[in-house]
Amino acid sequence: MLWLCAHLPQMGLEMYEGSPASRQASVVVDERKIHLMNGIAQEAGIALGSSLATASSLAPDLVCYKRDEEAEKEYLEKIVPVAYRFTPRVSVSLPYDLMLEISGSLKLFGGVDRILRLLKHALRRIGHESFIGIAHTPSAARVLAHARISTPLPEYPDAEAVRNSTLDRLRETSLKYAELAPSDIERLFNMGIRSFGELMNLPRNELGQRFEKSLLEYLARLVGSTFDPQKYTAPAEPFRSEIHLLDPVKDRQSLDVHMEQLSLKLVRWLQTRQLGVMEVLWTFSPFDNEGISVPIRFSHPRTRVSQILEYSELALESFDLPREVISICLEATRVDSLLNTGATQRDLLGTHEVKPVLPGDLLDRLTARLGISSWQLLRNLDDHRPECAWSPSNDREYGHDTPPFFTPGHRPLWLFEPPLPVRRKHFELLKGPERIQSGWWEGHFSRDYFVARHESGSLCWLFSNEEGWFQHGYFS
Amino acid sequence: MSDLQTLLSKDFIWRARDLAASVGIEQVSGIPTGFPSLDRLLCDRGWPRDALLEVLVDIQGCGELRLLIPGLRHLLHQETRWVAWINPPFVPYAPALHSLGIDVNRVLMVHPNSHQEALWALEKILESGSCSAALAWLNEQELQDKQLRRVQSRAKENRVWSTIFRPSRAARESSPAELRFHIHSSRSNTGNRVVLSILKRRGGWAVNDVSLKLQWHPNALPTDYMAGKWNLWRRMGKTRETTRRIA
Repeated sequence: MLWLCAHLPQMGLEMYEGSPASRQASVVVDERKIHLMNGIAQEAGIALGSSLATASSLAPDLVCYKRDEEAEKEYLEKIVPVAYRFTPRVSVSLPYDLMLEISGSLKLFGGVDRILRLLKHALRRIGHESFIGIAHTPSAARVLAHARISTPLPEYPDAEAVRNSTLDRLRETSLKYAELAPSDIERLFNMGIRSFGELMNLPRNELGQRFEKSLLEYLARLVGSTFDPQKYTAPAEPFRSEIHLLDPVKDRQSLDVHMEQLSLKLVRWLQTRQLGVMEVLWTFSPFDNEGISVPIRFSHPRTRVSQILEYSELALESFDLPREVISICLEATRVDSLLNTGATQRDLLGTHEVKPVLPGDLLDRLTARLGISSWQLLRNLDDHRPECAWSPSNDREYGHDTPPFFTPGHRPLWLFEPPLPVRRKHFELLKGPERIQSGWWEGHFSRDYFVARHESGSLCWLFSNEEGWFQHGYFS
Repeated sequence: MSDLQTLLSKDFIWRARDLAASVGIEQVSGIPTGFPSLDRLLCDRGWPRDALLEVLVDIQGCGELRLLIPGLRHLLHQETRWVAWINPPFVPYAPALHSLGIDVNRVLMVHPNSHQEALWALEKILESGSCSAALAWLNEQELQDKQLRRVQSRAKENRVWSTIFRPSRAARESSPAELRFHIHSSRSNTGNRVVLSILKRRGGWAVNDVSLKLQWHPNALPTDYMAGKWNLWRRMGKTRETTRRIA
């Protein structure tokens, strides 16, 4: 394994500035402290970690960006395709590192140095300064990249050579680049241990007694005595297919033919990737105008042309399509792996096929024709307030929240939402009260609940509070 | 004579002795209703697994759901299929259903916007094969005989126990439903009994005033903790003001 780490120290700032470097001092602020800054800010005398107030007094025209870790993560994932050119094994290491496993790509690109140069160049072209570390383990590559140490390697190094030269370099590297808790690093510094070499010379057992187990694990990952699996990311690969027609289509039947073609393409695309589609977007455009888009959601991954078409047709019934459609576009906006489809199940002996029950088909039909709000599933919630002990849900990934235990019959089967104001004189109280209260932090109320009979004979759930009498349900 | 034989060999002629035979051997093919006396009156010895049941009831809160709950519970325990509620008039209260042993994770609510949508949803639910029972509250003004006929035939084909709730004035009209119940409301209802008339059933005459003892009625509970406290407080005269408000 040959790991390459591209460290982008200024990415948090560069992602805002774009490629032509700004002429102004600019900084990224994290929790009111300077987190990153550009060269001009540095010349102005601003120091990392100083407060924003100090920085603004040093550079009055300071441009200031607020750090957003979510956005940084998204951005880093977006630049993965740059690295993906060199190897399919790319992973992202937060906050500012790209990890590439390049042992399989050396021949193709003509040696380590060339890959290194090409990668640096590619990153510079999208506006990022990078420092690259190469080592036999991901952790060591990261340390070398952060410490900006380059390892001299032959064009086609073998595993042993990489390992030796990495360990050589590491020995002299300061421990401040270690991915350990800051308190641990400080403790080591106080003990006079300043470089990786000094740390690695210490007997492991004693080290384990004085520090957490995680330190030993980190060292093992660093030198490569345990395996350090990385989560490879693959760049997103959207499906989008369009048909542009010479003559505009006016009737639904010929539209269906084209829709079927597009669905067929989508299904082929899904099959080769072992995926199912969760959401598609149809766009029908007339000649001279904006088209209309019809999104169709599925409750679980779909793989068949017939299913995609059936739900699409149902959904299209409630849309006014343009009279003349000149181009049709199908996009897969969300796909998912096929693991959770209800494919045909067989019983143990395989003799007779058990018909799978797929309420998902039904739900998809309802969603397509009547809309997502037309159906609900019930959820129990663990709450003593009657109206908070349940909730509707459109999510089939149901949890199993256990409601507070009620003696059967103690609660009405029909609930009024919201409670209905009633006249007390129409009711005869049969049983109660049951006091239900809630604290000020959850909307204060205090109610006395009664089982009551209405004049007509229906059995009702009433409560009284300071505002009067309310009916909250029927004991059906 | 041969004409008569051919006629009799057709399925659509029902002969009373068919039922007598099946009753004689105590054949159980229905869903147990949870009420032995009601089971004895029904020809499948329980709710029909593949037919339309009409429940005629004018008011809510007279035990009409608790009449069906044991059957629904049995179905949900026995099968993995779901139970659909179409256009329920109020919110079915999940904790109460849970306490009666209904698996609420397999209860589907459908809220259509119009009568046509409700019928469409009901039909799709019956056809889908993913529900073992369906309860529907349809708009009586727009409901037509042929629509009911269609629901009945879909229920039969797909073996779904379908129940439709209608007001009691529908009793005057004929209906394709195989089983029709009229639930009587009583002004002295205490929730522990439901009195019903069977207007129509397969293999039998109408039966009047079947009184069934309901489980889980709110008054049958042992005097609960709060009520005990309440009486104690009242005796101590501490809550005179509240008492006046309630009385």
